[in-house]
Amino acid sequence: MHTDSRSPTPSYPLADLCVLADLPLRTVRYYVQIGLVDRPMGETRAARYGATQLEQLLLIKKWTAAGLSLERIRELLRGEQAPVPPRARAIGSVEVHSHLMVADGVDVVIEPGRAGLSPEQVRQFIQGVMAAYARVNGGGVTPPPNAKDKQ
Amino acid sequence: MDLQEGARLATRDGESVSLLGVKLSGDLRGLLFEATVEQRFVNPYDHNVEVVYSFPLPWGAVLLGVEVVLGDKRLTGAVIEKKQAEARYEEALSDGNAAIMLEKNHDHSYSLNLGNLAAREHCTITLRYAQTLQFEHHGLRLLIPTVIAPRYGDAQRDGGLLPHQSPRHSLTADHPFALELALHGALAQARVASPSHPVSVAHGHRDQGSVLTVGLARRESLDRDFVLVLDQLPHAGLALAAHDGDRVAVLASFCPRIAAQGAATTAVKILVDCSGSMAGDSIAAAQRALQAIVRQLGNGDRFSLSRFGSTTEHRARGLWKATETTKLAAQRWVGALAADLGGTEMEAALASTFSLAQTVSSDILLVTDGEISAIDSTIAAARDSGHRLFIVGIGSSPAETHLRRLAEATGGACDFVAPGEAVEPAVLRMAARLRSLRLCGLRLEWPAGVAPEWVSPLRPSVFDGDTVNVFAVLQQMPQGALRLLGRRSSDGTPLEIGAATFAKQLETGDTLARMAASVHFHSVADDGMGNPSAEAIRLAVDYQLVTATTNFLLVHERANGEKPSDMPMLHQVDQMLAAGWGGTGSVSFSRSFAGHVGSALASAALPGDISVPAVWRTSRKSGHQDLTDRDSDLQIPAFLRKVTDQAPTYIRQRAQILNRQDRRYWAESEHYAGMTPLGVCEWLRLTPAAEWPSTYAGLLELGLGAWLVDWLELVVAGHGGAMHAEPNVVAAFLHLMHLPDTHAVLAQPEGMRRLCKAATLRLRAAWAGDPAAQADGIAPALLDAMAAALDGMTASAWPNQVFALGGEVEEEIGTAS
Repeated sequence: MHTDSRSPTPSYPLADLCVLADLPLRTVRYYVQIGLVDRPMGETRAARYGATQLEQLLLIKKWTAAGLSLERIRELLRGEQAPVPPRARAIGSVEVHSHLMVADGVDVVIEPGRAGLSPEQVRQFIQGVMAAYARVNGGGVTPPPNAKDKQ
Repeated sequence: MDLQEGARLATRDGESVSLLGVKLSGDLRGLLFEATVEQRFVNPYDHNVEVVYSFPLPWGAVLLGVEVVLGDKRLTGAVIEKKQAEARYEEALSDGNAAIMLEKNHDHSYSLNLGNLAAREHCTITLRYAQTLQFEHHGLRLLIPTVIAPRYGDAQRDGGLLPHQSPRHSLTADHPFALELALHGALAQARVASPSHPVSVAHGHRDQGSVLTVGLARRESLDRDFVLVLDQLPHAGLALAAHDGDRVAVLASFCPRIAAQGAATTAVKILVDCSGSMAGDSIAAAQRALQAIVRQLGNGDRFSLSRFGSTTEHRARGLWKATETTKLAAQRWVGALAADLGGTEMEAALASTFSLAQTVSSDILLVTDGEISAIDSTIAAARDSGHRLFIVGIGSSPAETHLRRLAEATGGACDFVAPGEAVEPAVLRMAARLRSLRLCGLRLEWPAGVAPEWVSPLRPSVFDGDTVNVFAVLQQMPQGALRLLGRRSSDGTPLEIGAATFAKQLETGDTLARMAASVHFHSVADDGMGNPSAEAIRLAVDYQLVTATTNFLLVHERANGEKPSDMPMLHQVDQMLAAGWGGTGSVSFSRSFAGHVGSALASAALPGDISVPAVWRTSRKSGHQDLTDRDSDLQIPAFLRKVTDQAPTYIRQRAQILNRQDRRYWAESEHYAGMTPLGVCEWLRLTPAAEWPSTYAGLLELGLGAWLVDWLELVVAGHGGAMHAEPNVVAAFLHLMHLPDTHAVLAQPEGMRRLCKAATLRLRAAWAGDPAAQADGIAPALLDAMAAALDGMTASAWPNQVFALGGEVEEEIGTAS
């Protein structure tokens, strides 16, 4: 946000800010806590909020009313550009998915083209997944196919 | 710094957990369940935090007390009016004091706010609650919810929650759960089982008789509801009384016996939740339940089948009569159910189902996990529809409160089935309720001389064998028996359906009085304008009840040197993902699983946030497969192979029929998806007879709707008691569709067709005396019957007879487009 250009900042206590934005105190404090609204100047009772925070609150209010999620609002407040929506897959386009079997009944489906992964990265990823599976499955419920011991 | 991000990462490292564990101990005496829940928290950080934890309590639970141990100090607070509590909580936080507030949320869950926990400080909250249980056909099902499963819709906009109250979910959260229950008196002799958790059971004796102790056999987590099923219990009417100040509070519990008059029939519209959250265990349980429901339908019963997710699909256009054919079609339909319809638009689905066969009085049987945010508007719509809703709640953590409210508001009933639990008892109970008599004019007859000051409102309906609980406030200790009366019809004579004799002695303690006050609160909570009434607030404060209009608040003043100077960091306790939710693993494997999932997964590479499950993010795609998608399949028939621009005209025209984009040839509505009559007719005209399909599977592959093929297979093939062979039925159908007269009728513009009814007559005449058909060896009777059924089809829609499957449709709604 461009706050530098604003010079004599009006300063309100939290309660006044809530009245101005017409939002419950708890909700405003929640927005501050999760970092959607800038933290105040000063401590505890002496904390003061300015026009920046009021502006942020009004934007959040407008956007939540329009159905945006708080995560999306966070991005917008940071001034991020709306990402280009991924193009719908063209009808008739061919996609190759790798089904990598981790264990019986556990598959990982990867389309390396869309995921932007190199074969090395895929290998690394799948090794990690298999290691994680082995850890979870520690007791050896499904022994590898050529394991000799039968429990 | 992104504080939320910071807090979230901290919980994933396996150490910085704020909720250390929950321990529940409970006592079950008769129908009264009293529980103590101990929640242990710690601030894992080096700075002050505000911990927020949202959790569910059972339906109808009355919160009786909150005790707080902060650090090593035992503290008590009080219940005060909500706005005042919120203001004082904020004030305490901005002064740097510790404050603890417990609020009841709009969705009937609770949120605990631990404001300003100092660095590394421990805090233990002990909640005490009580609830009255209800017998269901000599059985008792104790359900203790432990987790709020992810819900469809916006928690704030649809669910009325404040942002800090909205539950967040994490696949890596792991909160230990311990439990110990004691069953007293006659219950100690009951047969008990837990379908949700492995339990250990021990018989013992305490000062007042035998006790059955139930504990968890293993380390468990807050990821599924605890369910204890007790059966083989005798139950008779019972009335308890206890002091309530200078008056007497009464709980009377009836077990109505309503003799059935012959075999009652039912008209029921079955509606199944096929949203993504039902995937896995839940849809399998739903299928088992539905198969059992279909099996018990008998002569004279009528039913319809519908399923919903983001959209709704009706299998029947009206109510089917229960015949062998329709039941077979229903079982096929149930067998093919999949949780593939995306979101959970329950309100729209109910509205669409209500509008089926409106002239017939019918009930709805809803099978769902109830995980939606927009429950209030759904309840309002259901209440206005005049249908009773009978609900089978499915899953390891269904939204119990939502479903009970929905059933109660419509005069229906609600039963739950946990994964792995036998569905038959619940289904049989539900079937008995559906067939149970509707009694009207329910009223209580008090012993002579007793004039109650207040009596809880009676439920609009009672069912054979299900408990009816009534609370009342009296001036003095009553003697004698209280009777429950009802009438079979509005002018019938009142019959006694239940009686309860007052106990000789008053109960001790204030539990009963406060539970009565809580029920009283709910009956006066609203002033009719949506605002809390003054009387309700007075009751809640007098009896110290945490309600929608009152909060529990405790403020602990910190010494000057200990006061933090800044706003506490927020730490919301993540909900565990309900076990098996949306197909994330199957609960049936939990039994043999010994490892610690939480710790092992914490370090694994998992997607960062699953608070918005993928099934909600993706918009549903229509079920069609594009023509070109099939290229890779070598098995496809010639007519489906890829069409190039150089192909002959008729091939390209055929491709246009088959590409499922053209509305003239392809219909997709909630009643039918597949080729239209015109589509079939045109395709046959363009295709040499040698390439026509000769099997039901071939028709399906061509693109005819599954339900049309069901009709051919189940109704037409068995026409007139003979079993017609598959190739003959298919050939007869295609033959009829291929006749020039059929095309002449279908190819006319819709508007024109209405004017020339003569055309239809001509069509039937042409069909009846067709010599070519006889030459093909197709039985004339079969052709005749099929022609009669297909009479009335239009270019875009198959006639209703096709969907009625021989079971007469009670009322037809607009034809599918």
